[in-house]
Amino acid sequence: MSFAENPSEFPVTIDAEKCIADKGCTVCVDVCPLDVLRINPETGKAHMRYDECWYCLPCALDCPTKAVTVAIPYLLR
Amino acid sequence: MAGQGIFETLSADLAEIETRLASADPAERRVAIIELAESAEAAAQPMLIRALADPDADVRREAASGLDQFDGLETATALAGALLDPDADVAAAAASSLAELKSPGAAPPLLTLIVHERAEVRAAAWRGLRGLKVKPALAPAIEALKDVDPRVRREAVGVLAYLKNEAALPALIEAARDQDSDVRRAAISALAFAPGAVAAEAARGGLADEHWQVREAAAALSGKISIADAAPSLMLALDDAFWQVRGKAALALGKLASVEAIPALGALLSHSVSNLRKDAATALGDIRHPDALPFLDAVADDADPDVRKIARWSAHLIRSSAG
Repeated sequence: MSFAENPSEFPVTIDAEKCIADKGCTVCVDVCPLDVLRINPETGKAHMRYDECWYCLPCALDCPTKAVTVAIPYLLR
Repeated sequence: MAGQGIFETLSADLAEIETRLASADPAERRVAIIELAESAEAAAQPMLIRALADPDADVRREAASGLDQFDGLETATALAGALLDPDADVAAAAASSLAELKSPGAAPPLLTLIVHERAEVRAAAWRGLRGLKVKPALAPAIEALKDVDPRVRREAVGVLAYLKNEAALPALIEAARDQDSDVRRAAISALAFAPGAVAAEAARGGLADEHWQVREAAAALSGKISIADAAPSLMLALDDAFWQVRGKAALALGKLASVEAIPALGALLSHSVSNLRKDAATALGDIRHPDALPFLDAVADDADPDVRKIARWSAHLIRSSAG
């Protein structure tokens, strides 16, 4: 398992303006089957902690504010 | 379940399939049988039953497998006959399909086979009777625990486990000491419906069994019925040579809310087998004691996502219950 360290390469990105994790929302963290998302305790926003995405998309589909974007690799589209 | 298989078969297609069932090519008949089974339509059942008399063994085997979609007396009668097929694979497929029966009305043909001269036929008949839960099977099943063949005894235990009748308790207790480990394992699992003291005694004996699957069943039973004084034996089981036993022991200690087990369970969180780490994390959550929090927080970055999630959930449960 590797940590997601370089934001420009994250397959899952969260729009901090739209994310309401600081209001108590944890939907994306809870639905991720690989448990790769976390709430950053400093910013109060969701972020990708582990670089293990399966591109299964419930995080993006279930996000109540549509703050999550999953960049699906070209060959998987 | 009808009509949604690989071969999307509709009623109108059945006539066409019947034509192919008359083909001289057994491969074509076999494909037709597969399509029939996939259709799961009521009209397919008599066609599958007729195919059990096909001259080709592969076709008969496919028909026997396909009948697992159907229930009732006709299916049971046909499959009971297929148990006696000269081809062993056909008989095995029939046995497997018999195990899917649920309708009590399917019992009569199976009850006639529980005294068959061949042990595999007796075992398959008992396996088919398991899900039917019919009272007339009770006394013969108890008697079958004395069968010379362990496969028969094992399947008879399964029938008694489903019947959950107290009249079977003495025989099941005896079966928990059977010379065959598979019979012992099944009997210990079956005793989950027994009064606490009886089940506890069986679990204690099982935890000391020489076979790991028996110990695993005993540990699971200890947790399932919350045998309060089983904690010391379960603590010992946390050092079992088989991680499967350790996992069940860990879960059982969680169900017993054994605070004494927290350090040992915490140590399991660093075990190389992730399933064992999951069981330990689950158990620590069940115990709901703050002493477990350092252990759970330490695996927040576990390599296995399930371990991470369970550890986080367990820690949440503990913190919530602490107010």
